[in-house]
Amino acid sequence: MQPRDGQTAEKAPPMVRVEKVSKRFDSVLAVAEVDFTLETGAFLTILGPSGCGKTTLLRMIAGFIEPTAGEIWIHGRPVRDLPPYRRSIGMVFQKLALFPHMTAAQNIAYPLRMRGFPRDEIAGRVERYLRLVRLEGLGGRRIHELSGGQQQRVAIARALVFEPDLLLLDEPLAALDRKLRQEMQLEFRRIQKELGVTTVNVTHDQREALVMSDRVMVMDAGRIQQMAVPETVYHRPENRFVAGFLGLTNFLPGQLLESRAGRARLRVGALTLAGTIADPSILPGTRVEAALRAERLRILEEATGEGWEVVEAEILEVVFEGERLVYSARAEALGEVPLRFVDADPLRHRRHRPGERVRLGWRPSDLMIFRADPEAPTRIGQPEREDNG
Amino acid sequence: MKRGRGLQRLILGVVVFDLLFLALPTLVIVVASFTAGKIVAFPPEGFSLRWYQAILDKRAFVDAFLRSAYVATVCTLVSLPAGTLAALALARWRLRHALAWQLYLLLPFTIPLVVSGLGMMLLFGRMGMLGMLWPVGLALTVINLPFMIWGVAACVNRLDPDLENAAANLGAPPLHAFVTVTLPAVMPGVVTGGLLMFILAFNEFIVSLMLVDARTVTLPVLMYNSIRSTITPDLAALSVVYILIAAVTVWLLDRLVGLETFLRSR
Ligand SMILES: Nc1ncnc2c1ncn2[C@@H]1O[C@H](COP(=O)(O)OP(=O)(O)OP(=O)(O)O)[C@@H](O)[C@H]1O
Ligand SMILES: [Mg+2]
Repeated sequence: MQPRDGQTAEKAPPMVRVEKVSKRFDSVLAVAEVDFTLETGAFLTILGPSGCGKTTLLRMIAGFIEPTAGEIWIHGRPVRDLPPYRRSIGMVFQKLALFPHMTAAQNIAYPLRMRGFPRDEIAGRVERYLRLVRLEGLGGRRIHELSGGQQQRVAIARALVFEPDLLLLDEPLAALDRKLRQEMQLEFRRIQKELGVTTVNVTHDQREALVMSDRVMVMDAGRIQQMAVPETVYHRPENRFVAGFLGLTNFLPGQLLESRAGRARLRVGALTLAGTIADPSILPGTRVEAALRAERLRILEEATGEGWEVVEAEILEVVFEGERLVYSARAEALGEVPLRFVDADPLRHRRHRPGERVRLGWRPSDLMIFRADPEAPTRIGQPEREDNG
Repeated sequence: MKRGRGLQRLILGVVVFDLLFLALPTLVIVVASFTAGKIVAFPPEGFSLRWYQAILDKRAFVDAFLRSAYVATVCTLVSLPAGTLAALALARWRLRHALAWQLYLLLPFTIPLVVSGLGMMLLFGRMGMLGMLWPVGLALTVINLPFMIWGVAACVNRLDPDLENAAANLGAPPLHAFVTVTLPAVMPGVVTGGLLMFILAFNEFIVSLMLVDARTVTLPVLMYNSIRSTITPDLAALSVVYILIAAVTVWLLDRLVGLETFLRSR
């Protein structure tokens, strides 16, 4: 951009800026000081457990509810006084909210009619967007004459047809079966790339978040826990919550012994283990938890390789999950906490039986040390279920 | 499997009995109305259409029929907006004391019709409206409005509460959203409620009895008065007219809303 009036080059404002936004419902703080910006064309997925405030945040951006505190900016303009119908935001609702008394094509034409587009342009655009979501020829159907996946696509076309500045998706895929959902995820990504529309997607399906987004925002109890690219969120979680929410994670409770330049040692049960630590403010002596992803832990058949941490363990349980086996085992030296690990190639490996003794190993760089979650002592050591359902 | 068969037969038997039981009085009247004789009798004496001719010839009957139609129309026209808006307000806005409002609107159901009728007779008398026809329609709106509200509410409650948000999101200002989305989406309920109100008002007897006089008598009241003197077959013929009106209403309901939708909404 050209410098204006001799000033330094001015950057185009971000598409969305959410500035310290909070929302309180009576006694519930649904969204707490959420603060982030989203550049034009980005695809952000908000990931978090039920009730963490995802929908509330989306509704504030769409303008259906007002923040209790903070400011939302779209295109560098505060939107506090802008009603939803003037915001140029397309939204796909959790239950779709398609108009039942209209056909698919009439639903898609609705935002164009509201904007006073000429008749033939409406017809042309509706055709184009029906094709984009692969519904050619079905425009004349009533909503209840379409399958769940087809309705989904009508909702997507309706939210996109007027080329909004911003697209908001409130778990629109949650109601679909797994296979269709995975297809729709890729489809969505394709359409979003094709149109380049800035998108905020909400889900509590971590796989969807990792597959679809350029950026993932993990929320809990109304607060942002981490916002980064999917790989970073998965491989370098910033806190215990994020580490536990994504993937199948084992937690080993212990005490920090020393910490220097991202490396640390901690005491777990009778052992002293080495690991990585992201937060330099944790002092030795603090109660910590070491997170170890199930896929980083494995059975060592041969003699110890260089750089492996090894413990003896007894297999407790084996679960067949199709493409992989999930074991749980108890390593006495690490305490009573069951450790879960996966065999990603079960056909090539001998299947271990419950009661068998094995040697489990991992690399110290895979052990991530976090401050123990003070609010959830009961959760310590219980790896959370992975949500692929 | 065998037991299933037996159960099926039993259910079938009960259904057939129910259908006969429900339809029997109607059937008897229909058959009796075609009698050629001078009294209502079952089985009828011979076959003729003379009693249908008779009711058409009798000025009083035709006038009363038209008055009933007028009253039912007034009642329907008033209850359409009143009931629709009340149902939408109850379902959509988080009204303070919503439960109290609901009870208040159902009040007419909890009071015997005679009492309501008496109250309105006194009220209309004070206002000098006794002997006029349109206040009767108004009175019938008041006593039957819960039906209208229920008809619409059943429809509203099935709707996605985000429908209006979606309209706003897509660029529709509130009034626009109401006209283009909310109203059409609840239309099946509105039509159902409206037809119900019409037929109820057309048939209403007790309250009407207390509000009409000789010049404004409606059909059910006139029939009642006739029965008190002599029961002639023309009354059976009139009853068949009522059956026809009910049939037309059900047909309209099916055409406009789809009976399937209507029955599912109950
Ligand atoms: N209108 C409301 N009135 C009162 N409390 C509300 C309201 N809407 C949301 N909440 C509360 O705010 C919190 C966040 O709700 P929200 O719907 O944003 O969660 P969510 O992350 O979308 O959950 P889910 O994944 O289940 O959809 C919850 O505790 C919820 O009970
Ligand atoms: Mg939600």
